[in-house]
Amino acid sequence: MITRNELISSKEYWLVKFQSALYEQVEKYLIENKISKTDFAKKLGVSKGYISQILNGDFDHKISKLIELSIAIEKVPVLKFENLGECIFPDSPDFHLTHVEPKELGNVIKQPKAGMDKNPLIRKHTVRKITVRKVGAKKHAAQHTEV
Amino acid sequence: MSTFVLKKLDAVVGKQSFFELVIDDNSQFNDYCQGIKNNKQYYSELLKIFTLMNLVSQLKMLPQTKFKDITPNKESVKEYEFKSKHLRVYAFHLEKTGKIVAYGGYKNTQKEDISKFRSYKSRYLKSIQYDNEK
Repeated sequence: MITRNELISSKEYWLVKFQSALYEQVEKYLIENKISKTDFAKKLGVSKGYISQILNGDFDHKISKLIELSIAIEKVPVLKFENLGECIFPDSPDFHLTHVEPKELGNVIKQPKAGMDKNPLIRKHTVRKITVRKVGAKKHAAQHTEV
Repeated sequence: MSTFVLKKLDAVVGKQSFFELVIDDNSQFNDYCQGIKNNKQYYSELLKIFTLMNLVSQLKMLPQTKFKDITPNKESVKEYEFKSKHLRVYAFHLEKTGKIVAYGGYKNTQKEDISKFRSYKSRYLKSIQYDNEK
């Protein structure tokens, strides 16, 4: 059987979710505004087949197309990145009570290791050598210490 | 008399619960998933089917090309088909319970798969009717 973890970690899950969200928005827009697929295709300057592809939940085009399409339906796509572990049971009503342990959530704050500050997000590190090479120029080397 | 058990599908999370139908300790759907996982050919499509189940569980709109009501006329218990390019998964809906996934099949064996699915469904419905009468 497919596990929740396996599903959420797959590209298929996010792709289908994305495609279906887009389908829902376009479908609603066409119904609410009483626009036919043909007219919408004309408005966007694309083929009717392209619109059908979206309405079949099969959109897999460039980001620029997604933005263009969103604007055409008077929406804007908002991109948000979340930790994978936090998405395992987001829709369950008892998500915070039963299903998720800190380890699964991926939000375990590790003890600072040597070379790290007390705050794990601030890490002291040293970039020992940066080599910059330009066409026709000699090698440059520099030593940096970053905090 | 066969024994029927509904086992919750943990991979599906949302407002509506999803179960697999287990008959006499055997789940056709579990065997189907295991078979696909082992030979990997349609594994990606199986993940897409599970995603569709999640979206249905979250009461999202889906195109008919992905999720279709296949209930015959005059049938009161609704039947649904989850679709990918090659795979078909069949479920029925029980009020106050949720969706029961009873059969997994393929596009090229659709007719036989649907008839087997309907036979499983009818056996299960008879069993709960029998339990209620007892």
